[in-house]
Amino acid sequence: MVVETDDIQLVRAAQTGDLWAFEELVRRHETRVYRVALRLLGSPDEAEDAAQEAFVQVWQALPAFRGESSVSTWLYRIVTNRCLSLMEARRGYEPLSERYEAPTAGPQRATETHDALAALKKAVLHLTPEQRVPLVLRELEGRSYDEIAEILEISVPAVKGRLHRARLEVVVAMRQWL
Amino acid sequence: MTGREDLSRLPCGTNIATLVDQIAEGVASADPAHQADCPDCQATLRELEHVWGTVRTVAREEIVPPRRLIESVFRRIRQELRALGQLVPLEAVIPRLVRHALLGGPRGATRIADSVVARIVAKAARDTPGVHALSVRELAAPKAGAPGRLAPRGVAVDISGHSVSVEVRLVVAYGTSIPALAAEVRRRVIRRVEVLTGLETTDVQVAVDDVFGDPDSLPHRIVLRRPPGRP
Repeated sequence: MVVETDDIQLVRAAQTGDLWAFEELVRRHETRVYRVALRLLGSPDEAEDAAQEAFVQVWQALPAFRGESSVSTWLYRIVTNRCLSLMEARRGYEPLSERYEAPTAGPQRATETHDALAALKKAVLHLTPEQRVPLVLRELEGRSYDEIAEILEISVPAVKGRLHRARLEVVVAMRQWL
Repeated sequence: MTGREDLSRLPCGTNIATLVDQIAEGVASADPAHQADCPDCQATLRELEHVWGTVRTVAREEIVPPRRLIESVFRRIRQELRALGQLVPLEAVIPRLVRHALLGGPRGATRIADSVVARIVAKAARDTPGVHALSVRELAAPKAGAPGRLAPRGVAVDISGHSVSVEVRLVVAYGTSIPALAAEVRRRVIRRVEVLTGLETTDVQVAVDDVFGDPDSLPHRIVLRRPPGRP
């Protein structure tokens, strides 16, 4: 019977130096890794850099992977940390508001879906990194509390607390667009 | 932030934060009897539904990574390996020249190159009565590697996991029913790929580019359209 090779098998093969297996791993997860970077950083160029760095780091970290968490959790952790470092590095010298195109008109156009989506993305990017990461992982990536706790290496109650505050911030920001 | 004060409690005393979590988590109300009758709660819930509808739309947005991402990852890895003094064959770090189907098993994985699948497809199509040859016309969007090198001309395969999507371009014998022939080619390709590789063929696109034996066809055209490697 044919079964698809699972991620753990690919990681084990990659650990023995099989670059082809590593390529398959990258191929399987590139969308997820790039997507979360784009959602956290807002800029396609930065997201591409972060995703690339993350995969190189995954490759470097292969020998250390023991399978305590799932492969996707491990990848999320690496790309998330990469993005957090980038956010930390750019803090202060680049005003966030200039990075994104502001919606073209005021609340009277806000019912238009395009504006609402743009406003939401902007609201997410205005969250502090501490709140943004749990919000993106939960609401946009659909991860469970347990997995987010594992990704961020914090407790589940801490995840819930940050997420709760992040949701409120988003609602406050979005109210102006309703 | 003024919004935060607005958000703390509704006139009815309900903490808005609990409503936010209720909507975001999609869970049942903690106080359904009150919520059902309270206009404040109802209005706020509607507003929150609206906001969370936008969140869900953003969550569903399709995001496609740039095509060069994998290549740039492998370029970096190659540099790192070089720095470590390891020589790495080029084909090991330039992905996508050859793609493989991957069949996992308890005692190791089996990889089948897409060019192998393409050859099986080509043979199955050529063996179908009524097919004169595979077309040498270039495929509009080559799927498997460089056309004419890794894959036989006139065949393209696109492998994903253990399923495969196939395109064949044919020259058919004049007088054959083309729809019936296409169906037979499809049947044979699916069967042969299944038997020889274990892969599932999801679709077989058949294109008929020319007919052979048509009295109006000129002999030199026919010769030109024979695929390489055929007598």
